[in-house]
Amino acid sequence: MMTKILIENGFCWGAGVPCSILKKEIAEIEDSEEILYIPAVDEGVALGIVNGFMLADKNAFLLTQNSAVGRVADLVMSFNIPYDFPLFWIISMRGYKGDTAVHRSSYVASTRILNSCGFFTWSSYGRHGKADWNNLAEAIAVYKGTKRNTAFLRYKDD
Amino acid sequence: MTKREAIKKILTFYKNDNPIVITSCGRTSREAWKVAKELDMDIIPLTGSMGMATSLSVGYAIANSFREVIVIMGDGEYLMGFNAVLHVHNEYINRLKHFVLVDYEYESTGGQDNSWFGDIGGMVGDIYDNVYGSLDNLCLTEKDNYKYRKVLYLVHVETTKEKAPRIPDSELPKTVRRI
Repeated sequence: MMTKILIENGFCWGAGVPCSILKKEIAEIEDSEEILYIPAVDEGVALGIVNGFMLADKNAFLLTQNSAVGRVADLVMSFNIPYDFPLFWIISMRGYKGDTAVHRSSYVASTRILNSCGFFTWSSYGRHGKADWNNLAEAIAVYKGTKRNTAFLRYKDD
Repeated sequence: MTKREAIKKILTFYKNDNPIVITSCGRTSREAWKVAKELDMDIIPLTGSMGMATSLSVGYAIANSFREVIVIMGDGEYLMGFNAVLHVHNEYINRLKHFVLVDYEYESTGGQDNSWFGDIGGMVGDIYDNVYGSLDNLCLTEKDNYKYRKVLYLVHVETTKEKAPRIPDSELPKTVRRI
């Protein structure tokens, strides 16, 4: 479903790193013939590649776990914000509702960093604790309408 | 050869190919920005984002395989973005010329040593179509330009005490645009 929405909205270029919460979606993206997706060697490289796609005037998305937020915050602050290249970022949220201590602290810190960097954030949570992919379409609409950094937060289904 | 001389030689050689030029932060971007402005060339001078110049150029080169991509960086930047070098191997990249100006130090921050050692050109040899290492006299030829899709040039440069030009903040939104 995520792949379909991305394609319908013209997001045919992406890069990212693996995540167990998003494994189904990543498999779909990698199987898709319409999306050119680069499995990057690390989060910073993934963001650099996505920025390169945008430099070539492509609609591109970044796909990472929330542990990447701290890791690439500097690149967002020193490129995406001052050079006016708003980012569309799909983030799997580890550490919410019970997880290891490492992920819980990452969850708290990453949400604060996203707020500090001025990201609009949209949650995947729909009814009954399952992902509502209409929220992704809404996040994309807001991103396109506002040209602001936007993050779609993919929580694990209950 | 100083950084400025090397950059001027590179950009003058490629000017007629209408490339996009991506440069790493610090003196490299400052010098390149001034030269590119004089030559009226499209340039993305990174003024921060240390380590991102390689991945940025990889992304652009994948998405725009018909345009020559010239990426110029210091050796410190090349090492900080070393992971991204693996992606140069991407099959969609057709025209990427990667220039690394080697002076073994982080010149812009006062000359601290960087971690450059040994035959780095040899280490990454399988990733590029051709690698020119240890170049004291940067020699660019039309033949190489069209024969090889992805080339790494390691260029020895001297450091200089001369002050680097400053890129005014007001220039960035005009200079950096979707090209």
